[in-house]
Amino acid sequence: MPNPYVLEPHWANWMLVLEMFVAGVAAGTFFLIALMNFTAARGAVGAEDREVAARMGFIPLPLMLLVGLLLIVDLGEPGRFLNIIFRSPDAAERGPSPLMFNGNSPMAWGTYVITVFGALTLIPFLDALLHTGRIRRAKDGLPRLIEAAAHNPVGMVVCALFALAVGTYSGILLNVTSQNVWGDTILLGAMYMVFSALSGAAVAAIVADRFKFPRTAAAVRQLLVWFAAIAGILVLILVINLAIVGRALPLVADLDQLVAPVFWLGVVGLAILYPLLTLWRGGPIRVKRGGGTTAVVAGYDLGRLAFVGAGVLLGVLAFRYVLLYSALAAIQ
Amino acid sequence: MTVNAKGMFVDTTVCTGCKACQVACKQWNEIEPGSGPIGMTNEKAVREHTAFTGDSYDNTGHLNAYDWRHVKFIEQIGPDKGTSDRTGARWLMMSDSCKHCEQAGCLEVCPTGALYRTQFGSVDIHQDVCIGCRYCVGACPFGVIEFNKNTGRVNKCILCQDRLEQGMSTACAKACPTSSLTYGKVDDLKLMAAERVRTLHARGQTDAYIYGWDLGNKGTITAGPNKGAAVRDMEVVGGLNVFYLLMDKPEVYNLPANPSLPQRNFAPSAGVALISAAVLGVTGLAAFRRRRMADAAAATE
Repeated sequence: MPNPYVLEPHWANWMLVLEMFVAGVAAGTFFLIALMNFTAARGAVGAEDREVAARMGFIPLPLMLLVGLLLIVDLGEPGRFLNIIFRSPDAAERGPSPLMFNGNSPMAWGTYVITVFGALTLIPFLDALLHTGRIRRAKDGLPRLIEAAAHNPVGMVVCALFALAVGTYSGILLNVTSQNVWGDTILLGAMYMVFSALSGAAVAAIVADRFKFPRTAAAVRQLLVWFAAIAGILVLILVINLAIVGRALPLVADLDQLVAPVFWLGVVGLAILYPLLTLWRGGPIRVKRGGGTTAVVAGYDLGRLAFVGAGVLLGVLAFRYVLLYSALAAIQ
Repeated sequence: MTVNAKGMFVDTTVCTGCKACQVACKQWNEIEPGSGPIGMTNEKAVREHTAFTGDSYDNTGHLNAYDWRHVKFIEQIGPDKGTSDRTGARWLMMSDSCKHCEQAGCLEVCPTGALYRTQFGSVDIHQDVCIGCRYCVGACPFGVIEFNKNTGRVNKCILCQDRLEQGMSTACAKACPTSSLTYGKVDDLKLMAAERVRTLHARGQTDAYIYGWDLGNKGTITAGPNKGAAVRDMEVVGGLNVFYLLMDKPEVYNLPANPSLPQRNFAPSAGVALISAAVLGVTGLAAFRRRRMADAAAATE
């Protein structure tokens, strides 16, 4: 039985579906970049990873700018957004600081995390410009600084943590409401994070496939399988959780808002089963090298991975839709 | 609890459903009429609470951005079996509004400080500070605060803050002809409510109990579908500064029996996310390490 006391969930709209999807992809992509740079820094075999990470570096910054645009359009007035960060003179009740921060509100946490993350996305973007020759390399000055920031292991760990925080923020936001489905579980933060990481792996898969990096593709294939498996476990626990509190039907059987078809085809089919079934098998393969020799490397048979990555991205978009609209489906 | 908090005691046993409170609220606060009633066949209008409800004399249906006060009509007539016996019938009425909770979910989640606790213990809204993020709408466990599409901000009962600052009572309480709505200090109102419940119990109306504070009353419902069920006073979300004397289960009045703050999920949700972050980090490192080891093994062949 749905909770009949709450009003219509206004967040169930396409603008926020897109915003959460784009932010999740940006966060997931940055997580993968940080992961690749972190592991690549420890050995020469990660050279391919660094190449892929550099190419992926072009992605997070524009996506975060798009996120800001979508949020502003959703709020209606650009200036309003500032009231979350800077204390309005009329909101003096919460203290004397010029900055606004309500620690009880996940939205307040999220705003600061997104702001810092948005600034951090400059690092891989500039690194990508440097790596592709759009900024000239130098032994000192800005280019040196960019390289140091982009490949510093500690810095990469910090970036990865911020990326995961952005990935999870929207889920915790939904958890801390009284709405049907959203407030009936504590799993959404974790699920948003995992699906965000899954989308990052999907982007890495497309880039590795498109630019022909079989060694990176091998690791990304493994990541897609493992992340999809984790996502599958969480989805299963969520359905059981919602069934126990009597709110599973809006998720798995709603036809009015098309939540059920999108859930089964998009989330279960594309985001979870597609990578699991197509990528489960796949160990080291032989790749022909110059001089007619055949070398055995831990690569992956390219050509199919990009399709799986695109499918997973569609599945992650479906996940955002399903979670947001299930609350609306519950009250109708 | 806020020291010397002001609030209202709503005695539903004397409410006649005249809607004078609704009118006074609209008039004093100069609330726009909304888009006006439309037919029940218009699904969008039904969802937005602008349709004719078709529910007895109730024409507003639910609290929303344009109706900060709402009189509920609950008819407990039962099936007509062709007899004239209507002795078990009763008509419950209740004037509902924001409860100005001691632990207010809306206030807790507001990221801008637009929602704030006043010197009277009520929860008010700075319209200039509200950014229209609608987080409070989703957070309120009672479905009280609502987004105003005309202004892009949220609205709800503000306990006539401007009147209180001038030492006046709320407009609705002032207009109530039967004293179903009584404004005053919450401590005084609780004493009044306890006395009223005792009086009703002494008269045989053992259904009476308090929703909002636990004043120690217990009773049994004497009529309607829930006849015979036990009821007792209940303190919800830390106490309600606008609280109710009810004659049936809370659900009958469209009030949640066990409302909870959405913040209860904050720490657990963040905790599960932290565990997930650790799992993702480890699997991420493992995937690249596994590939590198396989690569190194292949290179030595």
